[in-house]
Amino acid sequence: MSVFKRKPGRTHPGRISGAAVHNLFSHPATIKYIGGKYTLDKRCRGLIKYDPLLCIGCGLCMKDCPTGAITIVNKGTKQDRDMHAYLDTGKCIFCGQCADTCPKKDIVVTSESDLSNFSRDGLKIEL
Amino acid sequence: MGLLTAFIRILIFPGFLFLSAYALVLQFLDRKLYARLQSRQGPPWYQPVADFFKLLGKETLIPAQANHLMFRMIPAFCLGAMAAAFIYIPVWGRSAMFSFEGDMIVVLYFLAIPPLASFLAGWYSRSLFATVGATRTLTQMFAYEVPMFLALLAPTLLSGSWSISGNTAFYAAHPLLVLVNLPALVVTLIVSQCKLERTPFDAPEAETEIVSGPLVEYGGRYLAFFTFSKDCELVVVLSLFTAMFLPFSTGIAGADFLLYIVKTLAVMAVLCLLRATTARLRINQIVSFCWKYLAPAAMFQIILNLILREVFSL
Amino acid sequence: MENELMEALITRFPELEGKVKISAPLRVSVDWLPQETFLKVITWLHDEKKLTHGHNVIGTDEGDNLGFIYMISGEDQVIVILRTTAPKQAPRIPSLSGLYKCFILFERELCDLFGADVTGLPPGPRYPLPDNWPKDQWPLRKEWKPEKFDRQTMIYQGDSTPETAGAPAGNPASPGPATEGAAEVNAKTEALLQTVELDEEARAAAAFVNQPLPGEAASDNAPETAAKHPNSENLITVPIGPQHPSLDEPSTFTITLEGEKVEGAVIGIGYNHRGLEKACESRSYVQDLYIIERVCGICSHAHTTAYCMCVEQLAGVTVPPRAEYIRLIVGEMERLHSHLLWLGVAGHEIGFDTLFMMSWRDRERVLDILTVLGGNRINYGINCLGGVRRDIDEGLAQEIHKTLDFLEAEIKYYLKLAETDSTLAARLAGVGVLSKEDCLLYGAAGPVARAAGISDDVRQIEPYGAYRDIPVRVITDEHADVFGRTLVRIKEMLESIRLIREALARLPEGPITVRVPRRIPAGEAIIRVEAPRGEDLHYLRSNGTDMPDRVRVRAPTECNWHGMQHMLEGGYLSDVPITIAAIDPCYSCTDRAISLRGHNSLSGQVLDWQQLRKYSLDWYRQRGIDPSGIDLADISAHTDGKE
Repeated sequence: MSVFKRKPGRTHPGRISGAAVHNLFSHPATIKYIGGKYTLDKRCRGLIKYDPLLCIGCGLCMKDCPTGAITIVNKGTKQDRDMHAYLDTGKCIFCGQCADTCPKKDIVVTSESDLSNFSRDGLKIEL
Repeated sequence: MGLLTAFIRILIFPGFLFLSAYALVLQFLDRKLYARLQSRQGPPWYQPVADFFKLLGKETLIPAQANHLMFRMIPAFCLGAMAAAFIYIPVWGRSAMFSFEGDMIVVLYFLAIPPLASFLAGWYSRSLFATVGATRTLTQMFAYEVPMFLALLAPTLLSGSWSISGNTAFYAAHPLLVLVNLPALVVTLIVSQCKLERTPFDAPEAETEIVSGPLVEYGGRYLAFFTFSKDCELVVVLSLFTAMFLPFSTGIAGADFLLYIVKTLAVMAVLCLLRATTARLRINQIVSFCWKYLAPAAMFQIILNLILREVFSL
Repeated sequence: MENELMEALITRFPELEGKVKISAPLRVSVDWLPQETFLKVITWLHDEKKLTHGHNVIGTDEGDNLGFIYMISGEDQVIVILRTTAPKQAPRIPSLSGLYKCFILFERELCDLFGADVTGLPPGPRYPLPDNWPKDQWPLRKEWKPEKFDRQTMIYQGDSTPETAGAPAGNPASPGPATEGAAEVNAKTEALLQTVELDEEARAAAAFVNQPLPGEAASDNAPETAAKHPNSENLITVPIGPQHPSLDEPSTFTITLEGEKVEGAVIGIGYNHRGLEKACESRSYVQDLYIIERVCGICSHAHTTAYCMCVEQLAGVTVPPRAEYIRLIVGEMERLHSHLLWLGVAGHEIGFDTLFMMSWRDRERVLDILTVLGGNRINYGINCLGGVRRDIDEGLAQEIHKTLDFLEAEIKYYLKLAETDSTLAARLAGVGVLSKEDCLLYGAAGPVARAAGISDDVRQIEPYGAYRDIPVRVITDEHADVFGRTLVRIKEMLESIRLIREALARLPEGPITVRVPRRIPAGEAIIRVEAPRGEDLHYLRSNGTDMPDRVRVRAPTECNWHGMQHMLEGGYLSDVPITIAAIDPCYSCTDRAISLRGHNSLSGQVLDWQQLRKYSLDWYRQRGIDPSGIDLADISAHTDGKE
């Protein structure tokens, strides 16, 4: 059994001190917990947007949704459609598959991400 | 000194109250500097106080197998020892509140109490991780005690006084002789880190290995006082260090106090940098490091000082 | 190479005529064989043809039979796929853990998930299902329906379930492992060990077991080890896990210590089994993509790439070149972020928090790019069946270049740091040694193998996607310890940067996606890709519908667990966290259940949200605080109104 035990070359302690002191005099990478501003990039996936007028009610988005978060309901009649979309943001994983699947490109992904709520029921919203 | 004055000096300034306040300030500065060295924001100034009061309000759980009396008393021992040790270290002016010939030995023994307290705390909590931590604390103590004693006694060989105040007074009169003690200064600086159980010598409370070691079963107010006494230990060690190795003073009490603050902060910054730039050593590496490098260096200093003392008959 | 092997097989075993075919490049597939023939073939391949690397064992449900698919390979990297079956009534197969040490975990899986009776499997608790899981429930059999199973009571409410009926009455020893008492198991195993030729090392590997609970471990296991040891009274057993600051996910390492030295280590994993493979079987290919993405948080792209390649191969679709290049870019970005994460974790484990903070700061830059590239921070969701979902435009390419320039300087600094810092060297060098021979024996993969000097990189062995155009320089090292693994990972980051730059420069024009039919023709695909932690092997079988028949994810970490015990023993307690971290373990990847590991005396139940809330309210009431007056909905209504 050959175990390679080559010692590392010349070493000194505290080699990181240069970078550490540099950090001391540069702007910190983190933001303040209270008062710090952080903005998400616009290209980030967030809440989906839905237009009831364009929806043809094919239900493909419901079929493809990995978590079953989206529900499309027609509250009108066949001729006079009254489409409603409900999203359980507690289930939604913001993958955007519904937007990809939608044949009418009716569902659009936005970067809206402030969706927290105090109760579980409050997470179920109508789009 | 009247009884009332003595009372005020022991309890308020420069005694216990000052020690407590300075301990919290130093903890904040240490954490802030550590954070900034790591490119983080760091805690707000009131964080140590907030932590302390939050812990006071928490429920205290004592393990069933633990010795309850010891479990509760150990933090108090630790804090008491630190408060007592602080009395003999000069803060306001050149001499300490109380001093006598040989008070340095007393302070050194008081300083041995926190590691012992940690050991007992770990041992009496009867937890696996605490036991491992306790053994490590004791092992580490045996490693650094000898270099620390040797390095701290070296300056006294020149000054001829075994009192901290006497030592400070002697070196204030002969500032150039401080340079002679440079090896001892370096040894004490590293040993302080070892004594305070900070990285790279934090094997006794290595969080990722043994979950903070001896203190693992502590919570609530006992933990609050334990960590608080550790902060006090930091102040005492820094004060002792500045009194022994950086005894520069102006002779004016107020200015000396400011100088004391500046000196302790500077030493703390060095210790913090050391903490930020190293990885934690294994306990066997700590022991061999202390005995291989620190103890001979301290010994060299002793011999050097003895020779100097004979040659110049100080 | 494939042809030679195929001819050799047919020459040696004439009965295989017509049963062997080359299913894909570097894949030799052998049709279903009776067990006797199968054993002869695999033993011959192992002993004579030196196909000593075991990749995977897959269980399948073939109606009345259980199918077992074995994947092995040798020096020339051709994967031979061997199949054998056993009737469901008496699903007995011999254990091959004597030949291939890395099969132990896979065979335990067969026992737990399919109810196979693997004879000769070294004794040990179950993996990956929780301890309180009923012994006669085998979830991956097709007739087992998850909706009939009550997770609270652990009772399967099927009307006369075929499983319970299927358990042969005349053969009480067969259903599942670890059902009998320890003595019985030992006696049975001793008898079996006579027949299957387990050498000493295999026995050592047999200790690779799923440890139930620290308390039990201390009572069961430690005294046994202690009794063997000359100075047993000095031994203490330290449980690292299931919850421990150095573990990022639950798992148990029961460490027997003499002073600070590790005398024995028992590894318990399986806390994170989430039943993803079963879930995949009841969802469409599109939905599965998102499940597969969540197998692992760090190597999500590697898993989806492998899955997509499987589906695309089965559907006969060619992915447009631009999509392949984007997959490469994201994959290498992922490697950057994974290795930077690892560097930080390694720094934290050895108490080097500055390195931890700095490398995670730099990792954040990679994640920022991945966010704008994919849309999410970790589960980017950039892969879709037939290509990728987002394009890289000129502006984004500039952003990537800027980030890469920054990262290159930083990573070069880390390399210099790792090579020259003495405290790092003191903690990393000579720790967790797994030599080249041991790596081959235990089937180690990824940076662990490469650090031992094995040039094992799927991107080079079997280039896929854009790696065909942009060859990879494989980074190897001779240290074979944690120090070597650190160097390999840091150097690999520099290589990744080079690959991304090259891919961006050569990014072809064209579409980024093609249509993939919803129904996938029947067939099977075995794809391996190089995840940041090593070889990631996916097996997908379709049956002509829009749902897969069988999905098997063999994550890289699953191979690396086998050598762990070897690495830990003889080291120090202080080195345990860094040794564990050095294989960059991904527990979820390996385990792939939200079920708590219960124990008879402890809470063997799963609490849902309502129960948990009730429990916490009761807890406060006992202490004299009545929280029922606080209505969370009121608070929300209040704050909503204010805003």
